[in-house]
Amino acid sequence: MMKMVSYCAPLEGGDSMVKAIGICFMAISCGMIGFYKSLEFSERLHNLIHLKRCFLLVRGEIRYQPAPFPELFKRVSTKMEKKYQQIFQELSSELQKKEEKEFSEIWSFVWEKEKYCLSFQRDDMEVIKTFGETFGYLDKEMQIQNLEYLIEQIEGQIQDAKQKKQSGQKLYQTLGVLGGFFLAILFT
Amino acid sequence: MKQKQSLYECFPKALKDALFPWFQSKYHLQEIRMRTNQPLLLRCDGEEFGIDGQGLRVREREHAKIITATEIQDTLSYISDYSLYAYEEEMKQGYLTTKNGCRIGICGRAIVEDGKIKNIHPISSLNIRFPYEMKGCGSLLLDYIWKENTVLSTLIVSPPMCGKTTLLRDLIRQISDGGDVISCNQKERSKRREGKTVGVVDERGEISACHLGVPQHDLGIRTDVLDGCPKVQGMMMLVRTMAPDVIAVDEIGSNEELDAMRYGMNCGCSILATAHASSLKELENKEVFQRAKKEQVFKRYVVLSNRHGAGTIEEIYDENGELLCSIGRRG
Repeated sequence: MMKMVSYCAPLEGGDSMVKAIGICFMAISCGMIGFYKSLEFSERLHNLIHLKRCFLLVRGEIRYQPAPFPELFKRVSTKMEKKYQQIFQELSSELQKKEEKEFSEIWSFVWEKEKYCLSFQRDDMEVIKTFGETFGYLDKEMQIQNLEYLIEQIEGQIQDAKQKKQSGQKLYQTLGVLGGFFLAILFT
Repeated sequence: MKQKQSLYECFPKALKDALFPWFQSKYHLQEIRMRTNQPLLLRCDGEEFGIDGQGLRVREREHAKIITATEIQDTLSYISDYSLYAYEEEMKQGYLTTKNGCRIGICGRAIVEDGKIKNIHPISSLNIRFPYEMKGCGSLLLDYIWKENTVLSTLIVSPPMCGKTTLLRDLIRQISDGGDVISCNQKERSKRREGKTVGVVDERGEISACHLGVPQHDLGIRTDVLDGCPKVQGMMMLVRTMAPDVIAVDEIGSNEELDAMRYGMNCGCSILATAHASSLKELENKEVFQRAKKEQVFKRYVVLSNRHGAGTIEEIYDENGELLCSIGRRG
């Protein structure tokens, strides 16, 4: 028995060390989760700003060099950020398949497929999808008006994202750090 | 064939089923006519007929495949890649040219603003015409309009559907590419015809069938195309910027166009043009062509018919309207 106590004694010191490391690790992880969640706000804002830029490019092309959508999307995609480049190229190839689908169906299908890499909220997606229902309808003037309305709506979403970023980012970061501390205290 | 196949992909399912046999290579499909609530009509080898849902030829209207408004709308949507707006300028003139060079005539309700056609909507009739390049159809004529290494200014005269644009297209290609002289005279034949720079003003896109500015037909290696440009401005622009040896235009008919042609000729260009009329006499009933004859704008007048099929060269006249020769066969 004595032998065992003397054998376990140094282990007790090591145990508390492991515990301390574990608690630190947990606290840091909680903090990081908070930071990671807060980054989604920046990501959404960044993507919305670039989305607006994409549609400004589309509007410019339609205004000065009207072309069928597959060609137009392919052409403007070269000037876009990689994520959007992929989306617009996919739109271009889907539109050329001629599978007896409506334009709005193809539009929604592609954006829905790619939404996970964009950190968009449901209402951001709603704005994009609603636009697809009227895009391509009637003449050039109508397309430009539609795009202007969309750009205006995206601008609204950008303002919303900015506000949410300000409040939400701090909230998640604080929650993460505080959660970490709380757990650390709880387990100490 | 490839061109026909890519157009076939643009039809809705029900029409694809009906049209499938007629898109096979053995048929010389010239035209498809779609009218809302009317039978689907095809023109093959010069003959027009209706077909049923399975593509069989029918005589009675009640057995024929009836076209619905949705089918017309869907066809247009697929043909234009969901982008009818991109064809707005062409649609104002009643047609659109697809990327495979097909020309689609449209009819429906014209939307007029300030006395000008703004658009056509809804569209109730489509006339899908398949352009055929008949390479070599201009060889015979070329021998009559080529003199001392220059092209004589020529007016091709024919009623609609007699192949004047096809002939003009082949003349442009041969003049542009150059090649061997085809002549009865053995000495002449051994000569090589030098290629000339040709400028084409294609106001309605019929000659080149341009898609995004690129000609879908072979117009030769020395040809510059001004697509969708009004003929008068186009001819002036070509003379000033592209230094063409020959200027080609389709369907002329106004005094302004004649003035622009004269301007081009005074700058050393030859003119190739076409006009609607069934004979030289009928042509001369139009004031503008009386003037053209008086001023000897054209050195050759070529009258076409479809007596032995589209593109039959009937007669060739000189600048005074004197008959040079009667041919009565295709080139």
